[in-house]
Amino acid sequence: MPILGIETAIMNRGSVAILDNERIILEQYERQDDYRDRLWPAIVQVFKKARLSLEKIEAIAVSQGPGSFTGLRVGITVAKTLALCLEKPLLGIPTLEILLQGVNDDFALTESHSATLLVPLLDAKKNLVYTAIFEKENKNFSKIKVERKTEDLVLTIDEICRMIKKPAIFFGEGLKVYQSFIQKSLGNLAHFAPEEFFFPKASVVAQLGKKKLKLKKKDNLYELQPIYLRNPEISLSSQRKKNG
Amino acid sequence: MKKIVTRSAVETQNLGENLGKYLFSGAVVSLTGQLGSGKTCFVKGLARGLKIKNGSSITSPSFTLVKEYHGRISLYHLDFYRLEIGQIHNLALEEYFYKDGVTVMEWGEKVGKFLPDEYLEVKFGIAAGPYRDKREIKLIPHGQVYQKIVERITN
Repeated sequence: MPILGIETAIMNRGSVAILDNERIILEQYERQDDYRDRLWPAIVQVFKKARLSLEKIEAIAVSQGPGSFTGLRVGITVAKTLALCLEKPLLGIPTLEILLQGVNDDFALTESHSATLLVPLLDAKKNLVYTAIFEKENKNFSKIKVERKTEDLVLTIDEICRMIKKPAIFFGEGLKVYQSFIQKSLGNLAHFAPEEFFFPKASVVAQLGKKKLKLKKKDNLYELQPIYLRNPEISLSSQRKKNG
Repeated sequence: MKKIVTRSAVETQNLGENLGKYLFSGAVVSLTGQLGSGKTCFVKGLARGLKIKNGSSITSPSFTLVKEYHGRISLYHLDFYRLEIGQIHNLALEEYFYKDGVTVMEWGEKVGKFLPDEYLEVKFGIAAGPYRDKREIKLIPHGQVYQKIVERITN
């Protein structure tokens, strides 16, 4: 039964995918300098390519953040609307876990790395990154488990580097800006996944959505919130103001 | 830093148009100055410089917060008059800086730490003296690329 995946957490690009049994149809787009929305046309296109109608979808999985606030709001609103209208379950998937799955499937497991830490990085601008630390347990290649060591965080690139004491694989589009800093800071401890692992993909969103659905977990359509990880100083000051 | 004096709304607009011609995808311009000091007037001219249709009918988006226009490149006209920094961040308005158009924001000083490392600051002051339409406009570049633009701008 087909699952729709929506990914809009990265500014200026996005993707939509349908996972139908093992078949994946993926539609990616990049924003050009016009104001036209690209998400909805991509959704229409992916259904066309899959030769499916909207009603055939079993569930809607959406990239939940952290990432671009604007991008997340658009993607999650569209996902919620579809879930509401089609009366199908909504599945929120944390964006950093989408990145992690991508790298795990194709890189971290196949490369024989000494690295046990897996660290996704998304550029949050102004020297900040969205990140988390995951750790590979058990080097038996038949059963590698990956455990989350920290919750999703927004930190300066310096702060995350200081938290890394063991060999680590860094991945995600944050590398575009921060790879050389990390290299200088961590030397041999730092390994880097290549560019193909920079962006989360809707195909992975759909795959993780399928897993979540199998575990009978779904999200409350009316309560699902983007994972924002607001700049902590800012939230604090506006909250103080609210409380008088 | 360059200080330019304009003696009428038309001259302020022309200065804006002049600047508009040099602006590029991803440029960020912060306008500061009290009410009535010429910020919106300047933006009208700037829009002309970007070949925005009907640029002269631009009004200040104090209520709507953002207005987008599309010319040779897009223009995002923001106005933070009624917001403080927490609200600006909640609305993710600082994400405009990283889009493909030119971002021009009135009351830009409110953005504080979210300002990008490189941007152009334009400070508007009402000139002392008997001429009510006279304005002192300071162009303050932050970063090389804006430094070069300011050097080229004339009245």
